[in-house]
Amino acid sequence: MCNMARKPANGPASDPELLILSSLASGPNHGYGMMNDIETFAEVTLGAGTLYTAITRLVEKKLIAPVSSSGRQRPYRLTALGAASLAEQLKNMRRVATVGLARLRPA
Amino acid sequence: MSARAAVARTLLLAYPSSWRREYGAELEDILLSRPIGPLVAGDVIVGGLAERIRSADASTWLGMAALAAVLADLLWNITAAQSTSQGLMAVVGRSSKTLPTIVVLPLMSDGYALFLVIYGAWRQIRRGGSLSNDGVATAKITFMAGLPVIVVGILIGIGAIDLAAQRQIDAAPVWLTPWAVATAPLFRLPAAWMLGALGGQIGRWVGRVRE
Repeated sequence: MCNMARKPANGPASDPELLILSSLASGPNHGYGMMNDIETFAEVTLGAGTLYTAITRLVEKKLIAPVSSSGRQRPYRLTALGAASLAEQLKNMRRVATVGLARLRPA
Repeated sequence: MSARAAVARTLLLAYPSSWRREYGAELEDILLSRPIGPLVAGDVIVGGLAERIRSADASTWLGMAALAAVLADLLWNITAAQSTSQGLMAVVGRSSKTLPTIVVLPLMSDGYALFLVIYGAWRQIRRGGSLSNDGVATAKITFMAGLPVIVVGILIGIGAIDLAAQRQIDAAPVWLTPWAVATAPLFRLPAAWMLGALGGQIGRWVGRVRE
């Protein structure tokens, strides 16, 4: 089931900034490509406004950067800072997920 | 231009022009690639407004505060008890000049003029640039502050507000025409510009003294 996300209603895993960083971890992509990729791997449909709000923030934080392009659809790439930030966030999520799942497991 | 393209372009107007120059073409292409339903439109509008709020400069915030103050003054005097309120006349008064025939009283006060000069000086010290930019910023604040009066003038013009029905006015004075009310704040803009530029010049002097 796909969810249209502005705020991460389904927890941190549907945070638009995290989803964009995760999408760009596989290589540069433009906005439309990111939307489709995120729909595929996270089952979350980012609205166009939400997507570009998040892209604007990430560019300002220097976590992603535009790649020069002649077309109207400009690709973005993950910066070194963005890769480090993504790795840190995912590690934290994995730690919390591991503990939570272990505690849910019947004794 | 197709209807969808027109809708996409219209939605993009929710964003500030500087943002549109940077990202507008990309977002427009995405909007054109999918159906634009109410959810998509709402999402774009919310994003645009958030971006406008985030990128608003001090003059926009001050203009909104001035707008809120004039609006509150207007609403209070229209809705409060007759013994304590003056209706529309609390905000507009007859001018002693030929043009404009009406003045917006809060925008004519010495305190407001001093505020514009101080803001112009502060802006110049903080951001530099031309004195004209300081004047434009204070004119923008004044325009925003006058918006409620402009709207009231239009409402009087289309008959949505009946001045004679206002408890404080037995009959609308002949000089209190909708056109005069709606345009009164605009006549204050040149003075606001000059006060901002004057403040900017003072800011430059202060900057030189501090150096």
